[in-house]
Amino acid sequence: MVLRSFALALGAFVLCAADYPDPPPALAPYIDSGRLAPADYAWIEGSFAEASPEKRAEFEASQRWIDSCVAEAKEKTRDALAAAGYPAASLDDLPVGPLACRQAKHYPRHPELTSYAQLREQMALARPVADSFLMAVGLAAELGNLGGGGDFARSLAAQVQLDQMLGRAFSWGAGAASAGAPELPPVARAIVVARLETAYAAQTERETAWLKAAVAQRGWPTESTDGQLVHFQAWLLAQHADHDPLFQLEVLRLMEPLAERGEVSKSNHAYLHDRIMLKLTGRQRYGTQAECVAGERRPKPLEEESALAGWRTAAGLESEAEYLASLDRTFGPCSQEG
Amino acid sequence: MMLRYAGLCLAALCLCAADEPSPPPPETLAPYIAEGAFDPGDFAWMKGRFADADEPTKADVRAIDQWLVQCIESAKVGVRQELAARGYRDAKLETTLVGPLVCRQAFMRPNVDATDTYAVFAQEAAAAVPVAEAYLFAVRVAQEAGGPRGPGLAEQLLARPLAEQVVRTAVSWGEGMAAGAPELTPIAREIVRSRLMGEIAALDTANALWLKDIVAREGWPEVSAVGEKAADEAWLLVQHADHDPVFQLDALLLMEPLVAQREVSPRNFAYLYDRVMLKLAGKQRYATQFTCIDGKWGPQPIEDEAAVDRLRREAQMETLAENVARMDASYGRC
Repeated sequence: MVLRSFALALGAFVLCAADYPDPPPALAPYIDSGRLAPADYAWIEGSFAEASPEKRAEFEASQRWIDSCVAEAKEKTRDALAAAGYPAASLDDLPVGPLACRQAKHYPRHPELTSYAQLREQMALARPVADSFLMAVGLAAELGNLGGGGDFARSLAAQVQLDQMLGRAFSWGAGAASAGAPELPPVARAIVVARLETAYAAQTERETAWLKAAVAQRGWPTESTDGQLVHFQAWLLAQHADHDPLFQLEVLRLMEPLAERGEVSKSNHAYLHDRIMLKLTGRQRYGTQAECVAGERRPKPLEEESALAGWRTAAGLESEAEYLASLDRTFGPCSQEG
Repeated sequence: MMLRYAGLCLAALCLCAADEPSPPPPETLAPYIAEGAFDPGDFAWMKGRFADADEPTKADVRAIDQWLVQCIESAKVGVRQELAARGYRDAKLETTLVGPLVCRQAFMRPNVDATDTYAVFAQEAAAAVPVAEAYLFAVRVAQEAGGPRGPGLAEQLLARPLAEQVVRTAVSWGEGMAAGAPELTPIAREIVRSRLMGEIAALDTANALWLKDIVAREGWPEVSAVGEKAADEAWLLVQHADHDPVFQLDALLLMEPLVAQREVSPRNFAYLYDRVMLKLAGKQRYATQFTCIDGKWGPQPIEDEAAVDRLRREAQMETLAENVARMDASYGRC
C-alpha cells in the first residue's frame, strides 16, 4: 500500500521502474522494499581477483543488472528531457534509476583493498563505526524538535538535517565539513564511506519525494514570504535531487522568474542552473560545479570561459579562484589520483 | 560561540577556585586535558588499573584517584556553603558529581575487570574509540545542521538540547531506543559508554551556563512567552544540570510560584523538585527519579510512599507503576 502510493506520487517516472528486471539471486536477499542493505558485502565477493568462477559469475550478473536498470532509466529520462526541450542531454555520470540499482553502485573500492578476506577483516572495524554514525542520524531525526506536525518549514529543516548529516560525512576527516571524524585505516574508511553513500542515496530519494509533494501542494517558497532560510533549505534539497533531473529542471524554471525579481537568491539559482545544465548540455555557466583533475580542483566544462567572471559577479558569487580554494578547505584537497 | 562558552567556563572555574582551590591534575593526565575539558583519547592513562602494570604505573593511577576525590570533595564544600546561604544546611550531595568539568569527565572512566591485562584492554579501546567518536561526530553535524531556526529565545531553546539528547540515548547502547546500536564486546561497550558520558558532562555544563545567563537576564522562560515545548526544553536543561545543584535550586524557586499561574508545567516542577530534594535531603516527593535495583528500574527513596500516586495525579502525571513500565520500554534493563 505504501509502495503503491509512493509510486503514484512520483508519477510516470516510477511507473516505468516496474518494468525493470528483478535483481539476480545473489543480490536479491540484500534488497527489501526497493532498498538495498549492504550488510556483509558478500555480494561483491566475486569482484576480487581470487574469487571462484561461480562468485565471479554472480558478481558479473549483478553488475549487468545494475547497468541495464540504469541504462533503461537514462533512456526514459532522455526521452522526457527531449520532450521538455533538451534533446541532447548527456546524463553521462548520472545516477538515475530505481533506488536499489543506484545504491548497489556504492561498494567499498580502494587501491589497497585486494581480497575478500581483507574486506571481511576491515569490516570488523568499519561496520560498527558506520552503524554507530547511522544510529546517531536516526536518533537525531527522532529526538530533534523538527519535523512532524505538517509544518512545512520544520519538516523541511528535518529533511535538511538528515541530508547534511549523511552528505557531509563522505569526506570523512579530509576537510572542515567532516572535521572530527575518527581516523581510520584507508580500507576501513572506504567501507564506512560506501555505507554512508548507500544510506545517502535512500535519503535523497526520500527528501526529493517529500519536497516534490510539498511543492506541488504549496508552490516554490520565496524569500519574501517564507524567509531566506526556508528558501535556502528547499533549494539545497533540489540541488541534491540529481537522480531526478526532471524535477530539478522544474524547480529551475520555478526559480528563474523569482530570481529575476529578487524573490529568491540569485546565487542559489546559479548553482542549480549549473547543476542541471551540465546534465542537459554538458556545460555550466557560473563555474559552481567543480571536479578533481590530476590532483587539482577545477570547474567542470564552461559555456564560455571569458564570460565566467561577469556571470559570477552578476549572481553575487565570489571569484572562481576564491570559490575553488573554499572547496579545498571544506572537503579537503583533491587526492593525487583524483 | 564556542570560544564564548569556553570563556564563561573558565570564569566559573576561577570563581570556585577563589574559595576552595581544586588541586591540579596529575602529570599523567596532562596530555588528555585541553581547554578545560578531558578527552580520554586512547585510554592509556588507565594502564595502572590492570594487574600486569608495574608499580610506578599503579602509583600513577592511585594519584589520579586521589586527585579525583579531592577535586570533587573540595567542590562539594563550596556547593554546601552556597546551599547553606540559601537556607539549605547539611545538603547530602551523596551521589552528586560536582567540580570542574575535567574532574567530572575523568571520573567517568570505564569500569574494567582488574584481572584483564592492559594489552587486551588497549586492543578493545582501539576498536571502541572510533565507534564512539563516529557517534559524536554525527551529533556535532546534527547540531550544526539543526541549529536554531531564528534568533528568538524559543527557537534557541528548541534547538539547544538536541546534542545531549542524542548522546544520552546512546548510553543504553543496544537497549531501549538505542536497540539498533552495533553489537560490541562488553569491554568495548563500557569504553563507548564512558566516552559518551564524558561528552554528556561537557554538553550539560555548556547548556547550564548558557541557560543560567539567560535566566539571570530575563527570568525563567514562561509558557506564555516561549510556548510549552520551548519551556519544557528550558526545564530539561536544568534537570540535567546535576553538576550545579545551586542553579537547580535557584531555578526550582523561580519556577514554584509560576506553577499556579500555568506558566510552568506542574509535571516539570515535580521532576525538578525531586531531583533537587534528593540532593539536599535524600528523599523525593513525586517518585520521578529512578535508580537501578538488581537490573530493574525503581524509584529512589520517597518522602511519603502512601501519598505518591495522589501527588503525581495532582501534578498531572501517570501512576508510578505506569512510569516504571515506560522506563523499562525506553531504556531496557539497567
